[in-house]
Amino acid sequence: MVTIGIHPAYNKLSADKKIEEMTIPMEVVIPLHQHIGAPCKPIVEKGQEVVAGEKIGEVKSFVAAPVHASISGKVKDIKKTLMPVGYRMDCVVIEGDGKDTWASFESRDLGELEPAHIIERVKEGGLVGMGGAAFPTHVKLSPPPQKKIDTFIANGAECEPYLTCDHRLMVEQPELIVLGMGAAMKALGCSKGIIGIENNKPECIDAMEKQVGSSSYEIQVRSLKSRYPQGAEKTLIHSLLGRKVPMGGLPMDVGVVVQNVGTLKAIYDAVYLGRPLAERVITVTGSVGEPKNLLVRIGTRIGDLIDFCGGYLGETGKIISGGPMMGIAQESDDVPVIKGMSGILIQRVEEVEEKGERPCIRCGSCIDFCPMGLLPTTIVKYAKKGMYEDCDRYSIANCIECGCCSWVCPSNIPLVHWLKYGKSELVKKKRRTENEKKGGGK
Amino acid sequence: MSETERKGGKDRLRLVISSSPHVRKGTSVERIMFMVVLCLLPALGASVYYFGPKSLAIVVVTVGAAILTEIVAKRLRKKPIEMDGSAVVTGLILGLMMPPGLEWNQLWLPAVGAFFAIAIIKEAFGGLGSNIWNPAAGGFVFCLLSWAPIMRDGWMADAGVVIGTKATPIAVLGESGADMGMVRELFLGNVNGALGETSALALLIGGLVLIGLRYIDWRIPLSFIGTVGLLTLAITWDPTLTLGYLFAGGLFLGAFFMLTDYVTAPLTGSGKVVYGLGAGVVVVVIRLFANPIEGVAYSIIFMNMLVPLIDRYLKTKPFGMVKERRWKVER
Repeated sequence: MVTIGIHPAYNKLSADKKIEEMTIPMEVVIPLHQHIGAPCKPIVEKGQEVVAGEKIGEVKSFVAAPVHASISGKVKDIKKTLMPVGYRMDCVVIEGDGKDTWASFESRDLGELEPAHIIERVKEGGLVGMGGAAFPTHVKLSPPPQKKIDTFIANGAECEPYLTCDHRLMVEQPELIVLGMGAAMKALGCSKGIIGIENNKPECIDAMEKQVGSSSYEIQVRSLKSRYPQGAEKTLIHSLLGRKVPMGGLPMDVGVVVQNVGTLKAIYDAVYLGRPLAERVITVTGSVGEPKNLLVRIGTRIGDLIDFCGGYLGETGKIISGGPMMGIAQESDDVPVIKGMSGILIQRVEEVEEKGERPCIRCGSCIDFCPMGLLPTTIVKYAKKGMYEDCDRYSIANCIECGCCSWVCPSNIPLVHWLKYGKSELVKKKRRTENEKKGGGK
Repeated sequence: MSETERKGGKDRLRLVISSSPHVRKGTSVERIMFMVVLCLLPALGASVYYFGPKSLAIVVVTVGAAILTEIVAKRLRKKPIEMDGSAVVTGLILGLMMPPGLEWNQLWLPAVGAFFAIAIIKEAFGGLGSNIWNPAAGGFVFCLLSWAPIMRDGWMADAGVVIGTKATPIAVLGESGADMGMVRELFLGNVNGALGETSALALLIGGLVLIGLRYIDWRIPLSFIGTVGLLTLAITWDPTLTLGYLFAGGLFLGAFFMLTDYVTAPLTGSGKVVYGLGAGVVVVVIRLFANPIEGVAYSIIFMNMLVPLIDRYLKTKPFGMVKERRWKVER
């Protein structure tokens, strides 16, 4: 089923605000697990001196990304701290010395690097997908040999309302994005590249179009209809190439690798300059003094970002990490910035008033607007009753949690909440059965 | 801001934590119901124009009885009383299906119909969202079966153009065919029949507005009316008579306002097409081969019962679903 897409109010308040470097914080809290995959082990000790860009945590596992210090100073503590994803995990606390000394990095030219070296430099840089999912970038750049990649897609859709960090990056540093894209394409050995940008950002389309000629790769800029969730990986591939990623599959199953433009800029840093991912651009927006796009060090407390943008406006009701459609509501502003955080949205109390949930009137809106062709209301009825096999029968795993169903629901049913819940319960149940099978075989 | 001030600020924060998304479109059940009521007003206007103020009284009785029944039923079921407007819609549609010739001392009948629709058809099954049948259709059929003589006499309205001596235009069509003048009267509504069913034009206006604003799915009215039209034409081979059948009776009311009732219709697009198609076939069979007094209400009731089955087999295709192989190589 081809998606119609929804049109939430875009509210790109900070679209014209230049990326501003935030003052270096006196203390950073750097989580050791900022990616999908195995968590890192700390390789520094309490009291040890570190410089910015120094590796402080790593793990042997392939699906993982090392973490680096983002300021210079002393390791104050290694402790469990609340994360913006909602649970507590090990973090390295660094007390700054105010000097901001950086480690020395080895610059390289792309011509000197073999694909394997590019991937190694990306891995060492601790790169993860910066659009939100935080999947280790080097894993995406090293598909198994039997998967032939013919097209590389740079995701500049930025369909989430409010967020403008990718927008600003495309306007201000298009040349770095194109260079990063070239490096990624060389690593993958694919010759065709597409940059997909929603047509509500003509400024970005112009900026990128001026740059693509400079690349030695064949790169196209394509304008996309502005509709949510245009930037979701599967939707984006379908819009640009008409290919459908099979259920339960990955983009590489249809010969495609997608990377967010922010990640491409980070690939440039890591491959050309040897700089690890220690800072990123974040949009701070909503009910704050002045919405801004900030270049901040990983591990900065989000409360400091909000203060830097003029503090809270009115009575704050919600702090959201990410955008309004897929972001995570925070229980405190005392959580650190992580690699996958693209924005901080502040909502006032008036905006977060939840109307009571009503019974489903079977209007079918959630079905009409599901980009994954699912029956959200039916799946949720099963999930509420704990019938997870039936959720499976209705392909609950295909849900991308984009939020369209909850957005359109006239009965205010928190469909996404139940879909997430059903998905995780199904995974748990499957794991249990597998374990039982193994146990029974012994 | 200093650290202590910020901490103080933090203590003031009382944050709401809930699942994404954090914005909503802002539609509500109330708004949908309100729009349906609004789009039924042309039909109500037409019935007041043709049948006089008594039609308004009948509608007031059905709507009032529906609301009252809902409140009592909710209280008995110990559920919060939230007026979502669905009782108003049920009452209004039921009122529009009532015969205009009811005497003042017969107004208890529409009230009983509304009571049955809300108490038995809707609340007894769990309230809005859980009912199997369309409440208005159920209430109407209950009245029709229980008090057939009153209903039939009531259709012999003294206002409007009485076509022939038979009870309804449908019956006349079945007996003596149609001419273009009659089709015109049927379309405008200047005929005897139920209150709001007479003017196909008024119903069409309201229905098209609902479709245009995307409150109802176009597939149901189209497949329903289309099936009735094509099938009638195929059987009678008389275009004028077919047009007469399309504009007569509750066909448009059923097509735009009753079959499209979310709760009792299938969920998916393909399901909705099959649903409209099935209802169309039932209407034609009843009208042409059985007692032609009212096919539409029965067709709705009948198709309502098939909805779970339709939902079970006509699902959407998940994005990226690869066709499953029907066989597997066993090793």
